[in-house]
Amino acid sequence: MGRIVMAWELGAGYGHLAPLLSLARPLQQAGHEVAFVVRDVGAAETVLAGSGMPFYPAPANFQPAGRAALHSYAQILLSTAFNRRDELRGRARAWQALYDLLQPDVLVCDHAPTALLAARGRDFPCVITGNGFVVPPVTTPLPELRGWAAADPTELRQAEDEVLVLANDVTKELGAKPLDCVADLYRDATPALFTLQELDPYAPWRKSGDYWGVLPGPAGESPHWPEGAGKRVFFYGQPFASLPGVLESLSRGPHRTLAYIPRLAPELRRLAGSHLQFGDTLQDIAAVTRECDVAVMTNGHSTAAAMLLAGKPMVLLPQHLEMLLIAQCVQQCGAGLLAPALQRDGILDKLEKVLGEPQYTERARALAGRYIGRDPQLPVRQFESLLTALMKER
Amino acid sequence: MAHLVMCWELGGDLGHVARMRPLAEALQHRGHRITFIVREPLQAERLLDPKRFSWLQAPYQARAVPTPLAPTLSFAAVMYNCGFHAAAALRGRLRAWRNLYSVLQPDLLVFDHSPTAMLAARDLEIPRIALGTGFCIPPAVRPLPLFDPAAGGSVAHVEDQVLAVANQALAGLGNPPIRRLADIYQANAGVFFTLKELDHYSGRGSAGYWGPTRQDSGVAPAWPATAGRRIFAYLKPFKTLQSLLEALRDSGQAVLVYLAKGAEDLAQKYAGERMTFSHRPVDLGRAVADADLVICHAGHGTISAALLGGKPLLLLPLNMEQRMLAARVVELGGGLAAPALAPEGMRQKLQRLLAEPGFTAAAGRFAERYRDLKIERIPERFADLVERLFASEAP
Repeated sequence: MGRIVMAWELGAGYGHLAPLLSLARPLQQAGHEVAFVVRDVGAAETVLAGSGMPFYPAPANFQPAGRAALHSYAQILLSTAFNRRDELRGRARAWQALYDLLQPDVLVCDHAPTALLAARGRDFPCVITGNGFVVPPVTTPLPELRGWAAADPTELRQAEDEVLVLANDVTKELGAKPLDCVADLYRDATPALFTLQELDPYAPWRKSGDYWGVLPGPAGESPHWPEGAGKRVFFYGQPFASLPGVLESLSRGPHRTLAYIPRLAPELRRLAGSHLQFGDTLQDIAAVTRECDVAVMTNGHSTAAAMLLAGKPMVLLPQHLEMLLIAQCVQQCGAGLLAPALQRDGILDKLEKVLGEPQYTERARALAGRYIGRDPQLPVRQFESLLTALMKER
Repeated sequence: MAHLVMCWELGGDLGHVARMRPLAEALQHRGHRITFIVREPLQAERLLDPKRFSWLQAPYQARAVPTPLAPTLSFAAVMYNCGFHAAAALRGRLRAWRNLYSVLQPDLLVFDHSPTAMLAARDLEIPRIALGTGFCIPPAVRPLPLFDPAAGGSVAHVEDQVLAVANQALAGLGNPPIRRLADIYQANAGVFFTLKELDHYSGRGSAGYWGPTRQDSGVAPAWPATAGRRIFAYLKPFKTLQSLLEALRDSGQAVLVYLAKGAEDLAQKYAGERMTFSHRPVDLGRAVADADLVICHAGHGTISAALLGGKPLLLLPLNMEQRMLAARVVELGGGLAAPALAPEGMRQKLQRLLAEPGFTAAAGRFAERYRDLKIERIPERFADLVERLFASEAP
């Protein structure tokens, strides 16, 4: 039986761990050992407790460069994991020490570029997995992500060159093959892309066979909608400045809103009433998407996919690049609108549009129609087959 | 031969890895194997030879603590702010440390400023050593004491709160509770790399004071070629730095300033016949030997080097840890502190230090008291301790 290491290096929340766990379970059941290397051990404790799968902290960058508007995967790398030579080397060596200790037969990377870099020259195969944002296409130059406000291509090329300098400093130290282009970082990793074309910022660069579908979302509490006749609004995500104003307006109706906001300020609970209810725990996404008329959400990929598959439109309130790109995709395919300024009036106006004008719902239904008859368990089984094959080849 | 795991959980900068490196080298020389678990891989990269040592990431609190305590009146408050605020968060880190221990199988654990790591190791039967300056090993009392007893304040409620979180987390792991936070620091040996007078906590009682560890070397001090007494200043940019440089210029003495980073404009402005600036680390031992007065932000390394060299200090503490240490130096008469960093205050204290011989005399008495201290022996002494513990614990 084999040893599988699942690496999650960048990003926050449970959006990486929960899908990885659903991929890990059948492999564990088949007798393989699965270990996790994670960005957030607190989140890992919550998601992985009782699973029998140990977790370790992923080497961390304590002084990320944090640039402004990011337009390409190379710029994302420069802003997060690839800033300083010595710092990157230090983390790459820490990943190598982990590989020496954990002895993986296969390494699965979800938003884990340094893990991939450190794995160069090692004898185990890599898989790169996740939604579109974290599985960039194997292409040079790397695509411009903000097509609606593109950067100067020279800047993007420069960013790629900077990444190569940093990455190849590490490969030289580790005695591994250097990169000729940024895509070499993941060129030899087998992609397992869990998303829908409609949510993929790199869709123009993919083939239809590249998509493995979406993973089933976590189970949760049955949704309790307010009683009455209004439309059902599912409100989900992180707090933001104008949230109190938005919730206040929703609490006055006429729609019936169920809000699940994990870090809701306690004083906002007073808004609960005949038109607004708060869920205290993770909601059963299948039931929610089936029963709602629209979702207003700040996060995440998994919920957006579930909404599309249920044929329901969305209003998206992105607070960071990954969600902004997903929101742009949704708006572009006609299944919703984004309100990136996160202003109360803008959000409420867009909600009225999406509910009032039929084309959003109709479009969402049409898109959902493309996926009727899909087997929701197929992505997980496909992944299990891939890993089994990779481990057998060793 | 033993496998030692050396852990550094809290605090920034090079100091912790720098402290552990010579110990690791001495142990490796005797045939033992060392693995480091470090908060920042960057510091390991800067200081450790990767051909000799490997390192792993230490568990840390990823998500920001929602409402950190301010001001921090005791180490319990520091712990709260580092992730002892919620049992679920702490449990995740404890579990991660345990998982690391489980896969590393250490024969002995060494901890520098590592409360979660120590708590995770508590119920395992692996011998452990806590080391550090006084600040990193709080006294064995409940509640953990005020950093600044003179300022007053209450700390019992923070101790109770953090203790409750710790015990809730322990319960979640199926482990027995602790009676007080200080119990986290119970170890087979506590090694204090300081001297009694420079322990951040006064009145600790007897403890293993081994003296400060050796400092990193640096470039030879390049003093201005001018008459006058020599003042060595090791500074970071701070709000009233310019006022200090003014006062130093007005003192008419020969001044060498090592400005760790930044403020190049000020360096250019004040560099002159009587003041030189170094932008690379200066050899502390030599600078202290040459100097008549040392100015710094009350870091333990510089203070101990100055006093052991019989030289008085002007102290400009920037944080609580430094304020505590500055107070100890003032207590023993070896210097003056200007914690408010006020221009007039710094100027007056500088003048007093230059005018009054008592400070140099007190520093001289301190140096004399520790004349026979051999800090170069520390790594071997540590290796002896490790081997003794290892031998006594072996089946």
